[in-house]
Formats: sequence, structure tokens, C-alpha cells
Amino acid sequence: MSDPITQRQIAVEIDSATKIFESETSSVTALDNVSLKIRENEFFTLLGPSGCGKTTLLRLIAGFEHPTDGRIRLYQEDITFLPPYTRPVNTVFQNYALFPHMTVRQNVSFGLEMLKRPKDEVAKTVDEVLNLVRMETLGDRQTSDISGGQQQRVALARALAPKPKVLLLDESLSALDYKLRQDMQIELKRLQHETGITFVFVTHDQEEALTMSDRMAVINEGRVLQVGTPSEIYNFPTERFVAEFIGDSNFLEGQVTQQNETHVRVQFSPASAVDLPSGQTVLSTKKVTVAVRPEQATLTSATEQGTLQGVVKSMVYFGTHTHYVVELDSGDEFTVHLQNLRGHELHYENGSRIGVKLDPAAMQILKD
Amino acid sequence: MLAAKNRNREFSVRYLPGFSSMAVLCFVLLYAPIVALVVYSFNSGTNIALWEGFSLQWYVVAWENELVQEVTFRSLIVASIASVTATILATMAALGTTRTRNYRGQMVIYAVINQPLMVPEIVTGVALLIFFAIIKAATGYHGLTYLVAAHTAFCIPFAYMPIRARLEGMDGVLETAAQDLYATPVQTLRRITLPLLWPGILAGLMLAFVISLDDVVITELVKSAGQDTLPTYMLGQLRRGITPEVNAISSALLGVSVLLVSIFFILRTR
Repeated sequence: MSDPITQRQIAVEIDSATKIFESETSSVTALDNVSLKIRENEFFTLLGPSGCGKTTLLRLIAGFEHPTDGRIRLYQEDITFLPPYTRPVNTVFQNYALFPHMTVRQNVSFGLEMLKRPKDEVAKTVDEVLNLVRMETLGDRQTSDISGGQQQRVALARALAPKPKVLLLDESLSALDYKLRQDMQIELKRLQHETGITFVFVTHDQEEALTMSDRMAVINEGRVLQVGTPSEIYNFPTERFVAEFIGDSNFLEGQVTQQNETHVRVQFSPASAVDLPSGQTVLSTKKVTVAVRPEQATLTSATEQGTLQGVVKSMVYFGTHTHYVVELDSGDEFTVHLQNLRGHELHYENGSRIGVKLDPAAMQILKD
Repeated sequence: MLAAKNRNREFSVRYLPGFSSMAVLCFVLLYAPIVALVVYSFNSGTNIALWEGFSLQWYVVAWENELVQEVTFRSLIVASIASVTATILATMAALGTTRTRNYRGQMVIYAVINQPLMVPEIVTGVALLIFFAIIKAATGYHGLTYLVAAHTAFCIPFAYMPIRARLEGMDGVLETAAQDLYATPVQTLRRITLPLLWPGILAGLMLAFVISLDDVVITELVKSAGQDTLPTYMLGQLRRGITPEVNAISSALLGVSVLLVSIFFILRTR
């Protein structure tokens, strides 16, 4: 992994794609001027709630749909209107879509046969791919005779066998139970690493996206809100939706009272202001929303200077952490997760008056 | 006490009085005449209403009757050609009407294709009679083709029904998956759609064959002289006086129908 992802070739380029579904009674904008660059050998995730357009985007890349406007390119080649059977791109479908009248082996060899590869090459590749997904002993089974997890592996093998330039995965793990799903997450990462194929993975599960992706795009209502590595997205969300959808966040409303090259001063209450490092956002308005992760704040005595004042409303013990909900004097609720370190346990009773201490480096000003 | 007892019993319309006995009555009405027909086909006497003893003689009589052989052969020819043609047309129609996105007028098309099921057979028969009369006058051709064409026409909706049902139950994503795996539309049809549709097609074929084999009304109107099929021959025989030979032929026809319809149901549930 010596080459940084940003220096690799662009495998898939979505260039201002818009997709509008027209019916007799309505028109729905599934994608609204989406641009994305997915790089070679990248595990790229499209994350968003259901109906956000992420599956439509995947279908545009596969060729099952064509954009109303915009272009799709695969290694610089314009594939916008090519039919799916001419694109070197394969899909793992949500419910696998295995051919029920064929055996596991016949399913896996289907793509290679359609590409008219020589018989011995087909047999060899199918053996390799079945080995890769650890299904080598079940090749002669009917697809209805194997478990859900095994069907998932066959679907993967079938899509990998033709050695596509890009593999698309449409919510492919969502039909599996929790344990199997975790195994498959590790398995998918391993397969991506071993095959060197670019994976584009669609999911609505933020945890799955964070653990598996090299980079990810957060999508809502047909728009790409933010693109970045999981830690960039988690630590520096630029929009309220991103901060809310991925992990937990507190939101504080404040006024900008000072702004220069080094810092932005945000006043949350007459008694508390925080100097945030400048440069992250150019502010056009005085009123801003700041996101703070619950684990990035601490509790301290109410007398400490510069803290947000409030009353402990509830506390729940979680073993590694204790979760406190504080009702601030402004009326907003603020959640703080305190790590339970042996010998350093902090304990605040319900109803006690405390101060919430913020770390300027871990606060993020959001776009309006 | 009684109220408590009723409360304990699960509610079901089955417990309304008379429903079960009505169901039994339906079966009796349906099958008693058929049972009588089959039983009397084994009668050794010449009277169809008086039991004189068990014998297979009427089956032998029917089997050796050259006229019966001729009309049976004609029936099978007409039914085979008509059902195969109708099934091919119905398969293409079903693919054309269901394997597309929802479109305006889809329900109208279904209704139009299925309309012959509702139109009285005599109306279809008269229509075909007049239509063919025009062609006969123009061409002078009087062959069996008219009968085959007529049977093909009324068999299409019967073949179409199970094929369309099968298609609608099929997951369209399988065809999408095939195209994703480099299959052209023609290869997708050959390798995925048709193999999965096969039970529906066979079921449609069976149904069309049975319907054609049993038809009287339209055949009676469309056939030219000397083109009797088995059912119209039997109708003619009945006019002259009934012998258990007709029972025997009917029983044999019934056997074939039951066999084909059973295959139809087995294929449909597969």
C-alpha cells in the first residue's frame, strides 16, 4: 500500500450525472448533478439512507439505467449509453440473483461462457474463483441446496470470474445475519486485496461503511454531500446530515464574534466562547452550527471558566464508557461519553450542576 | 355455558351450518354423471340404461370402427398443430406484454387477449364461419387449414394464461444478472428466460391441446363436409341412437383429458 489512493488512476468517473424517473403522474429526481471519481483498486462505499439514490448510481455504472444528463466514464472511456453486456463491470445483487436452474459451477462459469472463453480456461478460472471464495467442494450443488452465506459467496464468485475492471456490490450483505455479515465483511476486504479489483459497495449501514471503505461518499436525496476516508468523514463532517448519519453528534448554535487568520471565535452563551482553528470554513454568516462528537467533550466542575453550564439529566453505564446527557442552560441537550479508566473514574450524580468542557480541535463548523 | 364454549372455538366460516354439505353436493353433481358414463361403458348389453354385466366389448367395437379411427386421427392432427402454434404465439405475446415496463393500456391488452374466454363460443364460431366463407369464396380452397386456424385462434388465450402467470412470478433481476454477465438479449432469452419459463409453456401447451381436442361448437360450424373430429362425430352418432360405444369413446377421451390436466397442474405448481 505504498501508493496513496489519490495518485492512482481514475477507474470510474461520474461526471455531473442526473437521473430523473418520469412516470405519468410524477417525476422523481433520483440523482441530482452527481460527480465522483473512484480510483483504481479502491474499496469505495456509497453510503446513504434508503431511497437516497445510491442504488440508482450503481445501476448507472452497471448500465441497467442511463442518466438523464451527464456522463459515466470507465478508464476515460465514455460508457454512458453502452448496454450492460458490453461493460467490463459485474454486479453482486442484493438477493444474489443466482440462476435457479443451474448448479453453482454453471452459475460461476456463465459470464466466461458468454465471453466465449475457451473451455479449459473457463474450467481453470472457475476452479480458482471457487477456491478464492472457499466454495470449491460445493460446485455441483444446486443453488437452492446451499445456505444464504454460501449463496452470497457464489454470487461473489460469479461476479469475480470474468475479472471485471470494477465490481459493484448492491447492499450485498444486508440479507445475512449479524455474525455471517461480520465474517463476510472481512472476506470482502480480503477478496478486494487479493484480486486488486476496484470495489464499489452500496450500503445504508454506517458502521459497515466506516470499517470497510478506503474512501466513501455520503449521499442524501440524490446529492453527494461529502467524499473522504472514513476518518475524514467521521472527524470532519461538513454537513449536519453527515454528522448525524455517521455516529452520534451534538449540535451547538453559536455566534461568530471574531474572525482572523488564526482563529474563529464562536460565542455559545454570554459566559462561554471557543476559539476554533481558522481556515476550515470561510464564514459568510454570523450564526453557525458546530458539531461535537460525544467522546470529544469532558465534564468538569461548573465553576471552570469557558465551559458550557448545565445539569446532568441522565447517566447510563456501558462498561467501557458512561453516557451522560446534560441539559444545558440554553435548553439544548448535550451528550458526553466518558471513558471509564480504572483509577480515574469520574462520577456525576443526576441533577448535579456541571460544566461541559469542549476541545477546540475536535469541533467542526458545519455548512448551513 | 354455551357462550363460553363458542368463545373457545376459533372463529371460522367453516362452522357456519350447511357449507360443508353444500361442498359435498357440488362434488356429487359434478361427478355422478361422469361416474355413470364410465360405469356403463363397461356394460355388456346394447342398452345404455340397463346394466347387463361387465364387458370390454364396446371398447373393442370403438377401436375397430374405421370411422372412429379416422375422426380420432383428424382430431389429434388438428389439436397437435393448433396447440403448438397457439403456444408459440402465446409465448411471444406473453413476453411482449409482460417483459416490459408498465405502460399505458397494459390492462386493456390483457383484457383483449383474454376476451375469447368470455365471448360465447357460438359467437366466435359464427364469426369464424362468416370470415372463412369469404376466404373460401375468394380462393376456392376447402382444406383442413380452416379448422386448424380456428382451433389455433381460440387456443391462444388458454395457452397465454399459464405462460403469463409463470412470467409474472419470475424475478426480472435474473435477466438483469445475465446481461450483467455479458449475455446479449438473445442469449438471455435462450439461456435464462425460456428455461425458466418452460413449465409454463408446457402447461399452456397441455391446456390448449385439451381444449382443442374437446371442442364441438366452433368445429361444428367451421368444418367442411367429411372433416368430422371425434367430438362432432360422437354428436352425429347420438342423433341416430345411443349405444355404449359412445360411452367407451367418451371414457377414453375423459382419460386423456384427465391425464393432460393433471400434468398441467403438476407443471404449474413446480
